[in-house]
Amino acid sequence: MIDRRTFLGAAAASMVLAGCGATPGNDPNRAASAGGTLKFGSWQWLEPGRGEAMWKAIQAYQKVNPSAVLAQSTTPFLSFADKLNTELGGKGGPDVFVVQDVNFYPLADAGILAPLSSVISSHKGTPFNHTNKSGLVNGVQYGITWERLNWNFFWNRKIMDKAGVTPPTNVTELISAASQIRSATGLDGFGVRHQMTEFDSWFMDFDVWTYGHGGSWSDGSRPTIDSAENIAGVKAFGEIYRSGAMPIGDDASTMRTKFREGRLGMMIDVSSTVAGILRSSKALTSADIGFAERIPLPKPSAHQEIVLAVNGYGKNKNLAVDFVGWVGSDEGQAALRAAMGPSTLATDVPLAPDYAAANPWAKAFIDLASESRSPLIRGYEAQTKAIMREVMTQVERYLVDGGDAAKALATAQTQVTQLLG
Amino acid sequence: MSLRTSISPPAVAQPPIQDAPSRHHMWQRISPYIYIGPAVVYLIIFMIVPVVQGIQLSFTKTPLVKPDGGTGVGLENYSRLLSSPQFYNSLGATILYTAATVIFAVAIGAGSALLLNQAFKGRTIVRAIITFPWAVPTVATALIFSWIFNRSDGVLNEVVGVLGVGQQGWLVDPKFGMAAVVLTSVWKVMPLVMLVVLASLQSIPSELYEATRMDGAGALETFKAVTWPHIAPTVRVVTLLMTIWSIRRFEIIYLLTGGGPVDTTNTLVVNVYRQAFSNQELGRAAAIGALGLVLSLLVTVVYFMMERRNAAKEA
Amino acid sequence: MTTQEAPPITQSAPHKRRLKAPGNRSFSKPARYVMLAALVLFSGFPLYWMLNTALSEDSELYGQAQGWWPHWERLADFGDLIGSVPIFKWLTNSVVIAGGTTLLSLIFAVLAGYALSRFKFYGKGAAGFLLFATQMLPEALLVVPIYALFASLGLLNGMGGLILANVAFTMPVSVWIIKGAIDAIPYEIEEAAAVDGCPRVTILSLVLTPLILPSIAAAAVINFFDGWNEFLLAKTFIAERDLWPASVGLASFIGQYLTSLNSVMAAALLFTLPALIFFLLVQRRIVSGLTAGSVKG
Repeated sequence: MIDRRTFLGAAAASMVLAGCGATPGNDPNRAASAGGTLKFGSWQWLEPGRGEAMWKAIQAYQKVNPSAVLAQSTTPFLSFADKLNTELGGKGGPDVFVVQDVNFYPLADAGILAPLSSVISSHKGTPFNHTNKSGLVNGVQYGITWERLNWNFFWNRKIMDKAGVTPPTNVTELISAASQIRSATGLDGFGVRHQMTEFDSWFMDFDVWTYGHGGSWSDGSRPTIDSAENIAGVKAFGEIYRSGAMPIGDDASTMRTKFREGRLGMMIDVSSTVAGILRSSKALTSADIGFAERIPLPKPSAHQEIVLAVNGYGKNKNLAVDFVGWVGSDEGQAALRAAMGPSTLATDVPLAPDYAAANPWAKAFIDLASESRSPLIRGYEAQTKAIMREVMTQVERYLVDGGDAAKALATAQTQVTQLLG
Repeated sequence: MSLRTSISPPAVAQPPIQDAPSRHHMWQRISPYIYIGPAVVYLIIFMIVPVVQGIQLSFTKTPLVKPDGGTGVGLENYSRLLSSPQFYNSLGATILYTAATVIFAVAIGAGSALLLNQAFKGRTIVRAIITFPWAVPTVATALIFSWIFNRSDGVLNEVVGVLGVGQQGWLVDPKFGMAAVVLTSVWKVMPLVMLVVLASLQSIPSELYEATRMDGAGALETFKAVTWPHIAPTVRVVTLLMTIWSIRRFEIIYLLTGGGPVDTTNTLVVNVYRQAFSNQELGRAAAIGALGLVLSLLVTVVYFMMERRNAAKEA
Repeated sequence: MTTQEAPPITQSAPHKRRLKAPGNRSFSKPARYVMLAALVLFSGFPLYWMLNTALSEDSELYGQAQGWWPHWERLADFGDLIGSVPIFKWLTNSVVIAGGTTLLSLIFAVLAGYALSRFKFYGKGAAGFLLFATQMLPEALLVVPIYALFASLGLLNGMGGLILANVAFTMPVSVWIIKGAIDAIPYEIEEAAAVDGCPRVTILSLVLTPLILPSIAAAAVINFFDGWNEFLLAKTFIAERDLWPASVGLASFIGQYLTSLNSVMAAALLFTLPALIFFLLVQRRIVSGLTAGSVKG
């Protein structure tokens, strides 16, 4: 029979111990060497071919830190951002995850990501390239580049030859090339996204046209939606839209599939699209892909970046940060390079020679990273999507209903100014 | 199904069962609450509390990723909404969508029920096929209808092409976007109306038909005298339900058009989702949601008032 | 107002009798058949088209006209199309979620339906209105607060949380159906049992429940389909691929870059088929179950 004093003493002792939270399994600040499970959230695990390759590549971390276990957290692409935001809003979510830059910025800005300053300071080997600036928010590094995807212009050589078309170098030539393909072969000449149903991706695609004319959505202190350059970009897009050579109403996936089936002549898209098409195509080979060194527009174009970040609410932050450090190391980058295909990575690891030889188009895409611009709007990064929704609504209206591009953007400017309040 | 009596108090007052005497007076008072308690408490926890939180949110500016990090802005969200043409566009789209979907779904559903109420060979199979859309998951519905409506390769354009009408962008052209969404919704929900009305029809005793037929009444008179009065309450209730559900229907619209083309199908609920997840403004989303709730409540109040008037007329 | 007879206690006889009833003679025969044919076409075509698309190659779908007759010989390819994903696991998950939703919903519904039917108590109108009013609430508005609530309750790691969320949406309709059914049962039966000394709980479970079984079945089917089709909450609350219900699994076929339309349609069919088959088996029940509560006192 335990007497009362002993019992109370034991109870108090166990409460003190529990309060310390000293059990290694529960301390969120325990050292990376203590190991544990890391949930890595991404939609890319579902990508045919590439997803498994990526997963295999990062398993190598478990050799470096044997007490760590990596686990997949998978969400389909369309739901990924919404779900991640909901999870983080509920103070949950995967320990480490990749996320598109437009979704990354608000998270970093809200302070719910773990800082990666130690990753930068303790980094050895090939230096981090300039793409990692995207992960720098409010002066603190919250993410490193997982991959940067650049937009470029490419075509189906066979269709071009059949229609007797030479690769266009500016918008006017592009439109006539597309029309010629249409009249000579009956196939669609050119395809890019053009619908608000795909808003989440369209606004980034569309930057290609406005950036390509030298436009910006802001000058850092106020929105410049209705600048002359932006109007030029919208007009150019409108001309192509109305040329009759684009498959209006098709979503991006349909157009890419058509390209793969040899039913679409030219596209402006990201490198992973080309890789994906080639991977699943029965008819097209790498030699059939004609490509330009740059998009047929006067100024440098856009990129889309996927950032690797650590969840600030995670239960194992140090391990997660250590993992991110490994991803940026030479070893991690080499493993990823083989798996990622033709994307720009956090360090300038060159393509494997045999891959580069087999895919001559890949280098052109990667090299564009030196000039390509971010979709985030300077000075209003966290509100990029909200601003772009107003802009693209007016653009869609202009495309579908006609009218004046300048007026459409002027309306957008007013809406955005009201929105930013 | 007597949905009408489900909402208003029963026509005949039923005395409570007398529990065994002695100390059960207290028990008698409490026992109703024990039976209805679980359901009520459950709904309060999972529905009412979030809604109250939502209404509180509507007076703040709150980022999606920090739901408890909001700053109060008073009525600013509401004043902005009520002075923005985009909100009225949403309101209009909701009303149009709801009216069109409900009218067609109830008309086609009730019509189907009338047709299926008579026996014929193969009736079971026909009834099954007409009900299939109800069993198809929403995601699959959106996928197949998107494909059918596809401008360059969809079968609808193939068919109307044969009829001489040109290729139309059913989901691209602002003229057609709402029609396409309404068509898909009607396809999906009509079976439920049909089932409910059919059940009501099948409870009409055959003697009534025989009686009116012996009186020499034609088809239309039979309908007006026998059929309609019997199914009217059911039709009214199912109409109300359909209306409420249409105001809040999200997935079909979002998956088909995302609120487009050019915001023509941007109903209040789609707008709520956009504000919450795309613009990441929970406060604004909650304000739109609250106003949408007001709309639903208005509809319900109007319904109850009409019901009361009908009940008074019948008395 | 026409008078109605109360149905006899056994439900099966009137059901059979009504099938033979002449019904209304509103439409002439040929007009009727034309309208029925149109309805069958309207309802059935999209499903047929799903099958056709699933059996078509990409080269047929894009550009050339998709054939009208399905390529049955490609049915075997379904196995390859689907083999790469754990579709049967997903279907099982859907069954668990839908089943759990149904079970929990019905328990609440029988209790609450009984209370709303048989008791008079303070707050009855409010309770009834509450049940009705929650049907107006959009999931889009509730998903974030419910998520936060579940996060604090630790309910996020499995299907249990999703079931709990689903029940909140499906339960009210079940309550009405059951209430309507209990309303239709003359209370003399219960009174007789009470006089014999039966406690209320036993009356409810052993006497009433068997009598309203068709309505319970109807409510069960409605609940099951709601749980089976649910997508918005499922995609938010379930984190692991192995725990996905089929609705989320189907959406996962939509890739970031390329979506294989025939694979998606094949998956959609596999997802729809169990629901359709289940429905075919129970469709009689649904109508009789809804009918049973229809005659009111």
